Amino acid sequence: MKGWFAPLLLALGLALAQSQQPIKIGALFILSGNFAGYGKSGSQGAQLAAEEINARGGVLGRPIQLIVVDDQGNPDVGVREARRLILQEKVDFLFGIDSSSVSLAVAPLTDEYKIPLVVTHAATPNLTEQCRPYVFRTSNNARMDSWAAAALAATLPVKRWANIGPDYEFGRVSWQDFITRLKQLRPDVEVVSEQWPRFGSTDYASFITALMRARPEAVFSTLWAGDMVIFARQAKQFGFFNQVKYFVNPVGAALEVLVPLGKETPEGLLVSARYWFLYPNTERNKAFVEAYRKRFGEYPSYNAQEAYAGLHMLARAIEKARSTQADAVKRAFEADGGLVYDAPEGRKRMRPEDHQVFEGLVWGYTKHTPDYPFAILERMRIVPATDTIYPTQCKR
Amino acid sequence: MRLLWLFLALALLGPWFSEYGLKLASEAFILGLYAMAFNLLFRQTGLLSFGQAAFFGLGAYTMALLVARGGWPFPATLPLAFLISALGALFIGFLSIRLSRIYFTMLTLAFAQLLYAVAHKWYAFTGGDNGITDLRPPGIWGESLFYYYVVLFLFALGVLFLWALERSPFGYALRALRDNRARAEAVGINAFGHLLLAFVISGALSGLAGALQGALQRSVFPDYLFWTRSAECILATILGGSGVFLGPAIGATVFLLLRVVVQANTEYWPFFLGALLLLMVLFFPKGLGGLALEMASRRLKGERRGASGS
Repeated sequence: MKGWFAPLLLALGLALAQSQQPIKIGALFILSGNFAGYGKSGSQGAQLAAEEINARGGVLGRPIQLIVVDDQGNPDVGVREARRLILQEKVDFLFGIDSSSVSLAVAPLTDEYKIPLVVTHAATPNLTEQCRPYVFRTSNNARMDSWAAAALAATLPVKRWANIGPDYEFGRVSWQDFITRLKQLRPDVEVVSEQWPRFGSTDYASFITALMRARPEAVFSTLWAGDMVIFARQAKQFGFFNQVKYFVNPVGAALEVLVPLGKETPEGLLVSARYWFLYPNTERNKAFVEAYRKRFGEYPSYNAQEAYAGLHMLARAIEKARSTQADAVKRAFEADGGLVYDAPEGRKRMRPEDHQVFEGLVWGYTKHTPDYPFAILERMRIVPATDTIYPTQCKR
Repeated sequence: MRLLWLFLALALLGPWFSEYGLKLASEAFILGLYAMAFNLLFRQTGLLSFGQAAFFGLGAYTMALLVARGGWPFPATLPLAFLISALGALFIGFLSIRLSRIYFTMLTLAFAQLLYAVAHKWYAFTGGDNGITDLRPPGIWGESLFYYYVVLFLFALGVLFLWALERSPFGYALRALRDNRARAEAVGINAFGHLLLAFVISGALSGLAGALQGALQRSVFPDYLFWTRSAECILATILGGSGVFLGPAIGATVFLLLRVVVQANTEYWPFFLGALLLLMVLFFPKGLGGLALEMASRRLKGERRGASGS
């Protein structure tokens, strides 16, 4: 009897261990340098989601193991680290990514190794327009932000528009998308000035005076991170925000901008971010904000929520696929008109053709209240997902 | 001879590497070739080029554009990457070698940054900061082991060429110019021509390294031309020791491993690199290569002494 008992036990143990093997997810975020704040929020959001999933028993009975690495926002480092995650750590999925160029550099690896990538921040429309089978984006992209901005801008009683944006692909494409769309909706608008400061500039004086000289009624801007913080401080001193009636920035409501500016934020800016922690006023969102604050001691920024929702959405796709295999997960994301997930910010639906998630977007005007040490949004305007659905060239 | 043994050993090692090991080793050879090319200028001519990225990037973009826009097969682009970077080096060298010391260094830096700006802004042609992606060479060229041998072969070729060059009359002339330009010119050495040729060779080899790196990473981005890329070959050279022939290649390997290993464990890898560089410069100015040589010669002496003693 002893003869067969031991091997049987061993086999049983092995089988158990097999089913308990974690699902490994390799996350790439910027954890050093100027944009480390965004990467930190993203990795925290993903971490919270992984903990929640594991607390309820994991996915397919397997726990989720999150491995977070620093891609430094550099495509070469991103590729090297993604390869290490795939080949050494044997991850089943790649996740996260803040920088557009890193996302574009890592994307070809998904075809080579058949490892799906779920992007939760990088916003270049190019990424999903490449129609790769294993690349998914669960956050909204820059084009959707621009279209939402245009939808709102079309309702404003102004005609003379100007732009100030960072001089690289994101800034240029966002403005192109915005003004093209706005002219479709309102053929009577005119452009009086375009300013392109270098990304990461610290002196905006000449750009601010050039803008003010052109006397625009409204200004569109995609300055983000430290750029927006420095610009807002300097522009305020010039009286810029008193002269311009509307200042519209689709990434201006990021906590990474509003928190450092604190009480210095000018009031009445029409801004958005991909998520605003006080909207919607649902139990779901309140519970998320509470859990996040309890865990990390701060309010969840948009990048935190997007990573949180992205990981939950991926878990749902794995569950639906009953497998971590790339093609099965792809089918799960695409099936039934696209995977749907109710995130803290509201409903996310994946478009099966290009693997881009569409969702409603929240905008509002900045205002100071005694309750928060930074500006919050008032007179909120919700742009429904249908206003941001642009055509895609992808087919499935 | 000893070099040949080394290459043979590296070739035999190939099948024993893991998939990931092959990628790392290939990258180490590429960075090694790049640093060796830089050191040709730095050690043999005393010229400190801070714009080596210009040629690294030129090679990479030549390869990428020919493959992505022209539909060329990857192997055919390598000679062209070599040639175009040589031409680029001829042009930049022609204008900057007239200047000496810091002015030369600054001008090479300026040219590299100029090319960076072009690659970054010219969306229609270079793809701007979206780069050029999907550069996986088709067929066997995309396989890690085969690619390892391709890179090793070209690395060996480059290193042997530099080794021969160092011992050639041309190499002696370069060192003469470095040590005493006036005297060397007085004996009839054409300083400008010699330095320009060295600059062109260095640029061409850097370009080859860039093309290989682009195919290894499957994409090329403007930061291939950024000044930090120029700094990489200088750091590798300092780490490995510029005075030792294989020093830059050793430095490149250590630089890469350090980056990968330290980064896998902490996000503060620049701190560790900085500390190591400081230690090297302060206590081991001959670099890791010099340190290795010293230890080897000490052991040899010890063995001899032991042998004579018995």
